[in-house]
Amino acid sequence: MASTDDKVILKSSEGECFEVDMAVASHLQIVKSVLEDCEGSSDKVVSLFIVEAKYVAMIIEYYKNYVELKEKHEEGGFEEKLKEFEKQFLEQIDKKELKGLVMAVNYLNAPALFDVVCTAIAKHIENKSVEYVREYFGIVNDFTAEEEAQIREEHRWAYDGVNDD
Amino acid sequence: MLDQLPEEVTVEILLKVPVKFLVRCTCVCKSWFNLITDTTFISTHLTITKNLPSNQFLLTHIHSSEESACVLHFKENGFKNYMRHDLSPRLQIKGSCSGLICLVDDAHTFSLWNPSIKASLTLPKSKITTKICEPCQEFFGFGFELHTNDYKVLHIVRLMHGREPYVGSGLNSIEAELYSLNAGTWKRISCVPHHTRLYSCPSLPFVNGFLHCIASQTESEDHDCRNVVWAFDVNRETSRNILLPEDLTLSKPCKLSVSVHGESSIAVLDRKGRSYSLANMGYENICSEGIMDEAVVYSCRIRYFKGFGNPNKWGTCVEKGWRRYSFVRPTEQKNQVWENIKKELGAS
Repeated sequence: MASTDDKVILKSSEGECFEVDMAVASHLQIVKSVLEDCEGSSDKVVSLFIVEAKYVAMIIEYYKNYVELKEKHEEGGFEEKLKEFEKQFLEQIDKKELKGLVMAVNYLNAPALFDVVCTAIAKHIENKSVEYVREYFGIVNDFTAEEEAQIREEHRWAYDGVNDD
Repeated sequence: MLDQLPEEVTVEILLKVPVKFLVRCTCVCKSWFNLITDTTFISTHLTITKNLPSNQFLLTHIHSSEESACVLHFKENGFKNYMRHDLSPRLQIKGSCSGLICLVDDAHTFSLWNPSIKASLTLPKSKITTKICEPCQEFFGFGFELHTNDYKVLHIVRLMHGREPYVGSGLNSIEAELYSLNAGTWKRISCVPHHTRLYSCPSLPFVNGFLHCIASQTESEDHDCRNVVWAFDVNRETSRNILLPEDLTLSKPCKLSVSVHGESSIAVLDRKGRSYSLANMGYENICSEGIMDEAVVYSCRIRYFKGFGNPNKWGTCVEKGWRRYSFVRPTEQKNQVWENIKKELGAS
């Protein structure tokens, strides 16, 4: 088993390499299991085939802070500090990028960040129109116009208070 | 990368959004419609979101000669925001659990109101209501069965004979019926044992799968009556007794009342001559049972039952003085109930 002092290299879909502390990378379940599978091998490079470099960088930034804050606030107050950081972390991410990020995090199996990004997307879409949601999620409407009108008619109150800005 | 999110990610996101948005999203596409209207999804969403401050309410009932309505006051923002549901006149709230509110009108028509999706369902007529022509006493309970995801309504009618209502307290004068939302029908049950008299209570509090009521029991006509808490198991559809602390077993049962205490306890209130009753104050709790604690303003001893199987079943907490519950009254309504509450609480 690798000690926490070890480094690991994560390779993005473009082939860009990121050297990361094992303590950080071990939060990504997929990296952990790949490393466990090839235990003993000197080769510490993990290819994240479908994850773009910008998302690798974001994920590393999140978990680097996560690990640091956890160490610093062992006595308590970690959750609060993490919340503060998460807020700031999410502010710098474009709404369209959240979607790419959630897919990357889902693929890498990193539960803490997955929850954070899902919550951020939920918050982002909760006041949006049906059209916006379709576009955001890349969904093709497979209802006929009549079917859709009928569903809308049933719960007309649910369609007011929409704000797509 | 692919443009469409995998289903497990979509589910995870949709479990975190408000109900109004979910309802809106039923018309996004067929697969979202099926996902959002799926019972497993609905109950998971309810479990995740029910403890959020935005989903905690104070439920009150307005009734006057001009209007009748249920009002849900959102805990968030200090109960300033509210949602109103107009009711037919003389409709009463008979219970609330797991997101639904049970109502009954003076023609004995039951309905279930789901405030989240602004929908209500009228139940078929309870069969025993046809017998309600004599003077009688009625009991109502509304509970939820977690494993089968079923809501149940209990309706008990005790027919009175002449001026003395409890002569012949045998089974023949009690009729009980249970409605299951899954089955969609009422069925007759016998759940109140011989020589058990239930004590009047606007609606039976639902805790831990049981509906509760103060009752007095006697082994035969000659024996003394002892007070117990009669508990109806909503899942098994049977009843059992919870023995009260010694000093409460022989006090006047009409002075006792039972209510929800915290998350999973019942409180027995010994009023000792005071004319206050929590349930009469119009407080009901929905989603979070904890809200009752905050609404309760109580100066006497509260006995609370910690659950079956707990060797030290009863705990006591003493609260001195009436605790004020702060809320803001909807301004544009002449609200009798609020006025009464304010008077009772001594608010200025």
